[in-house]
Order: sequence, then C-alpha cells, then structure tokens
Amino acid sequence: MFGLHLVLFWLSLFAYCLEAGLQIGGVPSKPVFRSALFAGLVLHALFLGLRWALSGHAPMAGLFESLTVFSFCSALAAFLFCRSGETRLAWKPLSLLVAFPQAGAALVGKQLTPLYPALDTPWFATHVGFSFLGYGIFAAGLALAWVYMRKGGEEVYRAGARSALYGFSAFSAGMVCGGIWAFYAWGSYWIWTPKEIWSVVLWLYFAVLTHLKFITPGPGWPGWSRRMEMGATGAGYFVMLATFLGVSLLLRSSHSF
Amino acid sequence: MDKVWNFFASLKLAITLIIIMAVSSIFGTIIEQNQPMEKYRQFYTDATIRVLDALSLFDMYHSWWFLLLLVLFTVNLACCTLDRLPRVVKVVRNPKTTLDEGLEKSLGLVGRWKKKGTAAAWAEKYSEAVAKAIGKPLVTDNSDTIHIYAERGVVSRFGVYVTHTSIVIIFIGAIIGNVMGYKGYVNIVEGQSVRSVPVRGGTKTADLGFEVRCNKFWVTYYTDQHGHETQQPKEYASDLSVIENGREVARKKIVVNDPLQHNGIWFYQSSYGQAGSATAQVTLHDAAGAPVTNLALSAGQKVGLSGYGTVTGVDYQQNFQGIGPALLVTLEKPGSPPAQFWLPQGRPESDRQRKDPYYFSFRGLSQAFYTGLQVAKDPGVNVVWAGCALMVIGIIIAFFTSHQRVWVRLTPSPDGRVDVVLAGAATRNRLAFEKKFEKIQDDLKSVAV
Repeated sequence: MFGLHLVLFWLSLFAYCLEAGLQIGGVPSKPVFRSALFAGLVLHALFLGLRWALSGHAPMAGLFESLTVFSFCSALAAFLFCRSGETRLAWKPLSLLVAFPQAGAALVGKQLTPLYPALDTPWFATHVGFSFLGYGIFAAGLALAWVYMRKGGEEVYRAGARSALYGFSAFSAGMVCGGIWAFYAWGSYWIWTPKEIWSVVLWLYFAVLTHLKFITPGPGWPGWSRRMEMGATGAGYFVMLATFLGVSLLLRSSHSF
Repeated sequence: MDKVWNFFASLKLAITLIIIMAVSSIFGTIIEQNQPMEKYRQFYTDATIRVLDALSLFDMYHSWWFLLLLVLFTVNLACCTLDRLPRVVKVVRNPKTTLDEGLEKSLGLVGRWKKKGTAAAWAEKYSEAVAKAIGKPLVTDNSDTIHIYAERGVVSRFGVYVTHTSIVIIFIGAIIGNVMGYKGYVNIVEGQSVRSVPVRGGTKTADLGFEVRCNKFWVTYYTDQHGHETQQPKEYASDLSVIENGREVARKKIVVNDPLQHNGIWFYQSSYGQAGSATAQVTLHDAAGAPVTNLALSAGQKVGLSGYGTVTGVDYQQNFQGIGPALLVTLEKPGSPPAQFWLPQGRPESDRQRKDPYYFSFRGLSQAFYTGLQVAKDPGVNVVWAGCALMVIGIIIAFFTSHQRVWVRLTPSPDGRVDVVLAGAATRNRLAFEKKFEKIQDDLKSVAV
C-alpha cells in the first residue's frame, strides 16, 4: 500500500507537469474537467486520502506533507477561482505554482511519520487545512494578478479580488483553529514566536489590502488603482511564502519541520 | 471634539497603525527576543545594543509602545464601527423603495421594455414573480407610477461590523487574561502534591486554593513492525487528583491536548523527567512464603531489617546469565560473614536455597517520575473564544452573503402601453447576481396578464 500511494503521488506530479508544459507550450486548453490539471487533482486527492489512512493522521505533518498539501490546495484553487472565460488564462502561471511545490515534495523524504502526541487532536487537521486552503487561494491570486497585469479584464479583476477575500477568510479560520489548539496543548492561545508573528503579518497584510479600496484618495493620501490592488494581491503570495517556508526553515519556532 | 472623533474613526489611521504594527513585528522576528545580553553582544556593538535596548526591541511585544499601538488600534476599530454602524442601520431601516432617475442611472443592471395593458395589472403579476425570486415585495403607488421593491440578505451589510467587533472582543479578552490571569509551571513527583505554583516571568507564586497530586506518570512508546518498543513516544500521561480539604474532589488522566481544569485553573501535560535514581523493589518473605515487608533499595544504600540484619543493593544486570533482570544484594547478619547473592526477577523462589528463616525476592526496578505541568489561569479565555466565534460568523456573513435588491417601475406611456424599468443591485458576488437578474428579467417579460 505504501508503494501504491507513492505511485499516485508521482502520477499527480506528472499530470501537473504535463499541464504546465501544455500551458507554456501554448497548446489550446481542454475543458476544465478534461484537463491534465484535473486528472492530477483527482490522483492527488486519492494519494492524500490513502496516506491519511496509512499514517492514521491528516497528511499535513513534516516538510513533504506540507509541500504536497500546499500544491493540492493551489490546484484546488484553480477550480474555485479560474474556471471560466478570461480567468482560464491564469492556469498558465498557476499550473507552475501547483507543479513547483509538488516537485519540491518529490525531493524530500516521504516516509510515514507516527502521530506525535501533540498532533493528536482535530484542531491539527482544521488548523493546517484552513491555513493551506488560504495559501492555495493566494496562489490563484498571484496567477490572476499576473494575467491582470498583462491583459486587464473585469472578470479577472473580480476573481483576483475575490481570491484575496476568500484566502483571507480561510486563513483567518486557520488562525482561530490554531489558537484553540494552542490553548488545549500549551495553555495559551497565543505566544510571541516568529511563526505566530509572521501569521499576523500575513493577516495584517491582507487586512490592509482588502480595505485600501474603500479610502477615497485626497491630499496626503495616494490613490489606489486596480493595478496596484492586483499587484499587491500577487505580492501577498510571497508574504505567505515567507510565513510558510521562510519562518519554518530559517527561524526557530514551534512550527519547524 | 469632532476632529478628535474623526481622527479615531478614520480608516486611514487603521491602515497606518496596521502597517506600523506589521513592520515592527517583523523586526521582532529578526532580532531574537528575550535573549541573555551575552548573546546579543556576539551580534551587535555596544552602541547598537544601547539603541535597540532604549527602543525595547529585545522584548518589543511587551514594550509600552507596542502595547500602545494595540490599544490605539482597538480604540480605532471600535470608533470606526460606532461611527459607521448607525449610518448602515439608517440605510437598512429606510431602504430606497422607489426607483427614481438618479438611482436608475447609478445602477449597473437595468432592463427596459413595454407592455400592453394597465400598470396596476402588471404590477400584480410582477410582484408575484419578484416575490418568488427575491422576497416579499413592497409596492408603492405614486399617483399613476407604481414601484415594486424587494430585497434579501440585508444581514450582509452587518457582516463587516460583526467581524470588526469580534477583533475588539478578542483584545478585551486578551487584556482580561493578562491582568487577572497567570501562567506558571510546576514539576510534581509521583505521589506528591502541590498547593501553589511559581508564576512565569516573576518571583511570585500563585496559590491554587486546592491541592493537586500526581498519582502516576507514564510514557508509552510506539512499537515497530516486530513488536519492539521504539524511541518514538506515543503518549505522555499523568493521573492527577484534585484535593480540597483532604478530600479528592476530581481525578483525571491528562495527556497532551487534553488538560485538567478545576476552578478556572488549567493543568497541561508539558514535560516529564526521572525523579532521583531508580530503586530496586525487594520483598522479604518468611519461610512459609508469606511477604513480611516490601523494600525499595537504592544503589549502595544499606537498609536495616530489625532482628535480622541489613541488606544492600549492590549491582543490577539487565540480563543475568541469560535469564533476564537480576539484582545483586549483600546481606549482613550479626555474627556471620556478609553474604552476597543474585536475585533473578524471573525466579522469585530462588533465594529459598539459603535455607534461612527469611528469603528475598526481587520484583524489578522502579523509576519514579515527575510530571511537568503547564499551569494557566485565564479568566478572559471565554471572551476570546466568543470573539473568535463571532469573527468566523462575521466573515461568513460579510464575504459569503450578499444584499440583493430589485426595483421595478411601471409608468403609463403616452402611447397607451406601460413602460417597465427593472433594476437590480448586489453587494457581493455580482457575477452570480447578474445571471439571476437576467433570469428575473426573462421571467418578467414572459409573464402574461
């Protein structure tokens, strides 16, 4: 079974790379649910489900599982935010944002880990699940921002703005679940460590982003155009990367892999 | 006064504060917080250290200026809400129920057509259709022009205020917890109890008001595919009792993620360790085999047995001559030379061969543990949870519901027909509403009197 579930992993990576190759090669896109990306997503879902059953815990612990779940949520976001019309153009950059973390996961150790006592709680899966859902949606945001910067378009702008709101919502839910978990595990819903602080930085970033358009520009306050909003939406992906990978890999924290 | 209010109720202030908080927070992750001075001296010059220390950047999250930022932000958020909420309530309570020209121009979704018949007859039909699509309509008859208005999802307008209020509530809960609560840490050796705990970040101790006893601590490990124990811990657990006035009033086995709570004080499984060195459990039997007394022998320590002699645990072997764990003891009886012999754990009767009035059996080594407990009293935590719940509800309302409004205006036309104008607006998910609007328009057009 362990071998089989890794076969599913490699197949989904292959499908994602195929989608990215077709997109970059300029091959006309297939209908959404007949695309290589969709095939990859289905294989990926089977892989994660099987791994969950094999390890007995949500497949979200350690670097390998984090990266592959990140890739999965990015792929999922393609079907939530870039399904129709001009937003399909975002598949070109997004397929790369899906393939990269999955390829990264392919390079690290894939052994099953037993359930650490600290992870033995439903708040583990909800905290990490919601956070990664937000991260995946931010990936769609970057892809949509990229399309908007090059081609513009009302539909793309709306999808991009919606991705910021929905990603922010999912991430907020993830933070709430993390607070509840921390309280039951450590007796404190909040501690001042780099991961928590960077989560707040990411949260504040999107809080500012979603509010800036409500200010009418005037003396002493610069205007805020749609281009700037989309640019900031795309840049949010990199703030997220700093939070997700930067802190866990570079700084000492409760969230190191 | 107005100026002060407007300053605190401004979105610009909110954005400025958020950006300052975010940027300074990043500094706090680059400069490691709360480290000993020697560590900072390795990285910074004395002058730099003086500057950073003056700005409280070595413990910035508890510095006066960071707390001031948090308080300012909370006040700002509260003022923003108090400033805008009455306006929204007013708009919601007095909806624009007639479609005048100004409103018509401001709306993106407008459809126009003509019908034969009377405005009143069409108004009745259209009301039914609008009721089905949106909700119970309000019909206004202005001399000869008839207005139909319907709305749904008005609660969507309040989502943003629910979310903002939730953040203020979370901050209030955090302040209550910080002022009235404490965090501490205590080690309890198995079989012992504590009445107070040292509080973290100070020299004070907090009186619990009751006693907590650790009855037992244990750690279990995962086994590998051959059934052997691995080094990978599976569960840390403490069996705790709460004792009030000498009576046990509560008892619980706590594990990581499942704490004990009593009188608002929480006890969390946090760490553990060995309390002292291991002792050998030895039983003294009489010749008939009945146990006389139980002994706990520490290595090298002489234990007296009145009327018999002294016994000392000398050595222990995990696998003695292939028959498993065994203890080497020295027995000294008055008037006879010291005797040294092994007590294999698996053969409790083996010492009978000495043919003495008493014989020993070894029941195994015993290691006492202490359990390390995180102790927390946080009277604000339920306020924080209420704020969190409200935040999730607020976000769902704000981002996933939409205030949808539809207007229909029926005016008799000079050519004897009826001029129909249909208009619509939605606060969220306009794409979906556009489709819905198209459908309403098709439905209205196809209705027959």
